[in-house]
Amino acid sequence: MTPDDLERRLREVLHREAERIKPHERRAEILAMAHHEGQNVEPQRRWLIPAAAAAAVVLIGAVVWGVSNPGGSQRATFAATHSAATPLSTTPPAAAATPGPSPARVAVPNPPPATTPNGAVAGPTTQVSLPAYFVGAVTATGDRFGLYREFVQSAVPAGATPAQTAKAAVALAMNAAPFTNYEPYLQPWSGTSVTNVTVTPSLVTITLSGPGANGFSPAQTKLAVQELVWTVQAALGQGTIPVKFVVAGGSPMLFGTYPTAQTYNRPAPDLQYQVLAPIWVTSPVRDQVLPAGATVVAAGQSCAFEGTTQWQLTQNGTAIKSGVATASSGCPSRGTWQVNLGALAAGSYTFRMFEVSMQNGQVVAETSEPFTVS
Amino acid sequence: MAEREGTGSAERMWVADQALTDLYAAYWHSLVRLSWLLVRDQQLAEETVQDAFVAMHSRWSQLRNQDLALAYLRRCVVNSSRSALRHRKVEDRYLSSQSEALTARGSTQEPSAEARALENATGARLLAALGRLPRRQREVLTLRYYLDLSESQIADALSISAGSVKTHAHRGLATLRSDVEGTS
Repeated sequence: MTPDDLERRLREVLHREAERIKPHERRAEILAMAHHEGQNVEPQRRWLIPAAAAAAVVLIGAVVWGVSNPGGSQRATFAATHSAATPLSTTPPAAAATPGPSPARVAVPNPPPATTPNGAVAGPTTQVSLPAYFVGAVTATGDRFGLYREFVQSAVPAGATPAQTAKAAVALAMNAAPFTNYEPYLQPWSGTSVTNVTVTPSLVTITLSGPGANGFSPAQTKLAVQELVWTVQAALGQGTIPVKFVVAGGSPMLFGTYPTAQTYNRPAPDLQYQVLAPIWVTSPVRDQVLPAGATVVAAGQSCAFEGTTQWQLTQNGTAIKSGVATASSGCPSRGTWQVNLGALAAGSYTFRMFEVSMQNGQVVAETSEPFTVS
Repeated sequence: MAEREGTGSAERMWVADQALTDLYAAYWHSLVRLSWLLVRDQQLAEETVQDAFVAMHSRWSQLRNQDLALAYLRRCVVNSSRSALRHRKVEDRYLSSQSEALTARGSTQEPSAEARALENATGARLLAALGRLPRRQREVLTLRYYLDLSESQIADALSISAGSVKTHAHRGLATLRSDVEGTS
């Protein structure tokens, strides 16, 4: 075992071991004890804690309001309007909302502008929702990037083959321009188009008109290659078939760096955190309209330390709710999370999910989704 | 005057409550898990971290900064975990929990994933070897590889010099390597 192996194993083992326990909520007890100590009263004995917890309920309400108060918290005033991801599920969301105590079924999302991939489609077409991955900033500072997924309505020929559908999805992923009003996705494939996609059980070949745009960093172009790999594999739905690129004119490199002689694939599951943006919000989707009075449940994926992320709900720029979400697993595994936002009054909202560094308290990943309740 | 003092006190309490709520949201889980890795007793870990938060709340007027407060919480948690081990003699429970953990992990492995089983067995040995390390080495390695703290942050949390952190880490890793390789 090399020194690096030992350290990697130790890190993995400690994280896995730590996740064996689920710490109980004790915020009420802590605040109750803190207030007792603040009044110079003898500290609460542990056997009195349940009573203290009950007494602290009113207190917690006040504290939560304090956190929500704009300016009351550093994080509460941190605006973020970049990056997002749209639906995760491959099944179409229900069209109507269900009032009552159960979580609302989401309405049909408002998709980004419908796009016809790579020029007009001759003959009869059918509208499909295709997965497309894009390279976007992971934090508001824009110094790190990851892949976000969008589902885009697109016209494909009626009875399209898997290869034709995959080509349509690749064309969508290569054109981030329709999203510029929503998300500042990078456009590393600007000026390049997909001319063909062929599929065999062991190889997908994507033929491109050029090697990609100039002016992007190695980290960004690596993700640009990955976005096409993820997109074509997702559109085909046949697993992680290796992907080969062919560039018209015979260019041997993509972006002058990545040889076309080799094949590309998604990273192994335990390394996918290097490629995917750490936080996806999959519900509500961007600009979704939800019925007033119904319970809203936000959901998504994250790869965060201990699976812990924080969320904040703002209405017209004012923070009204916040909390902590725990995903089904912590990084390097990608977990899923859900947050019950309760019933919301009519208005414009933004749901923001972010991860705070255990080391220094900095926001290391975040994403936001605007939606409306009416 | 008395009323003004009363108002000031309420404001201080209010500010400390907000700070505590923010810090709790961000760090409660990871600090409890850190303590648990050190004492191997969840209730004790939760009480340890709870006490640290209460202490932090009472000192917020001196800390006034999330980074300082977090460093203070880490120091409290590590020190209290150490005291708990010393005074409540949970060290034995820790060691016995290692063998239970080995059994538990073995029983939950996917039977078909031989590679994963082998990896888990190595992980369990590594964890058991970590538990046998001298306390200080165990603390340093846990802070470094669980919380990913820097040498200076570990030095602050343990109230030792950065040089000592380096020495403890080096010795601890060397022992772990020899333990794991010796049994594989």
